[in-house]
Amino acid sequence: MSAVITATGLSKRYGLGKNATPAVDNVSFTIPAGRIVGLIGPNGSGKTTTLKAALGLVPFDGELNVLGFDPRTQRDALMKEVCFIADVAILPRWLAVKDAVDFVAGVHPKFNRAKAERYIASTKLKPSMKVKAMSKGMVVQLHLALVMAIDAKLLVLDEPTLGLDIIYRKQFYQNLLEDYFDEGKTIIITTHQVEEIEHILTDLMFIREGKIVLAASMEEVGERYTEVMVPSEKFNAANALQPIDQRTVFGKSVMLFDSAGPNGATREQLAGIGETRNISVADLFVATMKGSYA
Amino acid sequence: MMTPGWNEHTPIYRQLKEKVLEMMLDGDLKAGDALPSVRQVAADYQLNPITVSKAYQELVDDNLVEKRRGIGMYVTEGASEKLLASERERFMREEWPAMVERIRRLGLNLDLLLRAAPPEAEGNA
Amino acid sequence: MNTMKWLLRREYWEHKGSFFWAPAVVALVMVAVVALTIGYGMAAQPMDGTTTVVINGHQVTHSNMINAMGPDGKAMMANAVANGYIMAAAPLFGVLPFVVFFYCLSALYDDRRDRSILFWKSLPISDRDTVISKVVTALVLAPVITALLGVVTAAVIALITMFGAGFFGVHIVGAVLANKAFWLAPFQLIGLLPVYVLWAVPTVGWLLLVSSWAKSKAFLWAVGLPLLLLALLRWVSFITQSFMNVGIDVKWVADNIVLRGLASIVPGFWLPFGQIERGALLNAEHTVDAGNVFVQSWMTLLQPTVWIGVVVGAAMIVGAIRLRRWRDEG
Repeated sequence: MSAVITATGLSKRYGLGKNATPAVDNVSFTIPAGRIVGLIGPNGSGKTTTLKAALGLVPFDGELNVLGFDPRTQRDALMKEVCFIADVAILPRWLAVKDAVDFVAGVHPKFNRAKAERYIASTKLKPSMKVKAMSKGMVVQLHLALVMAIDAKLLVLDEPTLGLDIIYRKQFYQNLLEDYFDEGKTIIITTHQVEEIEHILTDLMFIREGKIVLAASMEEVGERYTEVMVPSEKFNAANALQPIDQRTVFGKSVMLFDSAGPNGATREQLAGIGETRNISVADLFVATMKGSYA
Repeated sequence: MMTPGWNEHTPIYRQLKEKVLEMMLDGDLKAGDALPSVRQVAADYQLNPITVSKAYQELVDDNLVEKRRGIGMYVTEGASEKLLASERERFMREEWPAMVERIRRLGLNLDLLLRAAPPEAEGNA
Repeated sequence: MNTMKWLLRREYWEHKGSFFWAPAVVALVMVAVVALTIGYGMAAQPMDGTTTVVINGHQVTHSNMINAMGPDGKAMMANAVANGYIMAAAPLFGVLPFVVFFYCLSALYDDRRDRSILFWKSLPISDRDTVISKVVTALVLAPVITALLGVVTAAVIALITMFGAGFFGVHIVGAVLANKAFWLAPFQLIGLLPVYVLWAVPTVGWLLLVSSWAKSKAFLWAVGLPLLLLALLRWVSFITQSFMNVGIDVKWVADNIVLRGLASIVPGFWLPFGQIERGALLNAEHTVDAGNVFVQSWMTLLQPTVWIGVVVGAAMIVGAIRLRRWRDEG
């Protein structure tokens, strides 16, 4: 299957002339089909801008190919194959459940009405209920019911569970995996709650100050990065192997090694200096974002 | 839905495979039983389906599970016996010698140890 | 995929209150007032010729009616009712420009403010279709709903008053229903719609443009900017007049730009603006003749100013579409 998104030299500047700040700075990446990609970065890092560019919501410089379309000139065709949830609870307050289903059924060629109704039947939503009478969690349920019934090749979720309590959050991903995702679809998720989706992701993209700092599959990440708990007597030996990050936990040193970096250390070498383990995405994120990783 | 604590020492897919192996050893999964679908496991454990597929694939490679076209994954005949045999063999080869070494080092008596051991749990083979 | 049908429905769902209930409530109040007046008249008076009843704006007393009403009188009265009853719909059409004004101003503004635009943008609806659906709603859907309610209201009021007249011995229902003007009136009303649409384009265009552009306080921009322009021109004109003895025709700007830009959604705007002579609207009896109004209204389309307005309005609508497509929201 060909790539779902290909970006080449993607840039977006806000402001004019010398004071223009690049929100996205000459970024290139490829996202293959059938993946669940986590786009992770701090606020203002350019992750939302990148997504907006891919969805044709803002103009940009450079090249972007999304499902074979240019989001600038072919947005209408693109939107038949893509869906997105931009933020939790942005459904209009006056919209009723029944009308929402009717409307999407009437305008979207790939909407499966029965699927949406089945999902709604499993919630507490009633057909005549309006969004203004719903809790945040219920609004997300409605939005998800609509989105999951659309057979879109690409689904973009920008902070989809922001502000939701845990039951709705877990249900959100449960439903996504159980009823929606298959090898023909691709999902891109951005979230602050990295731990929550850590094991759902197949690929990782870290973005900082408009540049991609890391783009790898979770498998590669598991192979490349190793955390080592280094006892004090092995400290110098460990340092000689050039860790890319180091922190102290309960007085013990925990060092992070990248086997793909310059002078990369292998697992065997690392096993000799302490207890090795895989790093969690959250810790990897903090380590790479700290600025000590070039 | 459960999110069991995954540890950071082994890849997730292997930990998942190990869970299935435990269930087989405990008799929760018998020969001819169907494994839950990849999709269901992914949803219940909040993992991506590729991870689950990988775990299942290794089980197939080990001949413990077979894929029946269009129906799903099923535990093979004699799988639990096969598994028990290979687990025993692994214990004898890898874990037992280290354990014996430690018992001897601590100067413990094997007979006393067995008598002091907790009674067998129900259902163990 | 009949997207436009669903877009129009969406507009109706969102604004049912102003498009339907606002004129409907006005209509109900009017009908209630008329019914109560007639009912009171009927109940309170002892048929002795001293009470008066208002029929079609004319005060008529009981005795007048019986004594002075010959067959000619009755025919005249029936004719007046048949020709003029539709005017009872006027208050509803007074509500319409306010409804349309605020609708247009909020049409491309509200969903940017509450960010629900991102929901609409996640569906395969082109921005062009979106804006056009709002134009059609403002120019066609809203007036048609008002017109339908107006016709029904006017007919109900006419029937009530004729019933009241009948109570006093003046039976004209048959004559009115036989008069072709009675049946023609609703069609003439609907027939004026194209004239309304063409004249109203500049205002709808301006309001939608502001709606798609303003980051806040859309009303202030829509109304304030033209007024500011006028004030500025006045000041400049004063200066040039004082120093160079040549002024700017501010009145022309006020009429043709500001007024057209803000008020051409008022039904009947073209009558004073299109410089139609009052006399042309009257008939032999010096009352307003529906047929004349109809013809004269359509004749205003011969003036180039209408079409210039359409072009300018259309350009502003295109601008709104552009802004809707490329603006970075949220």
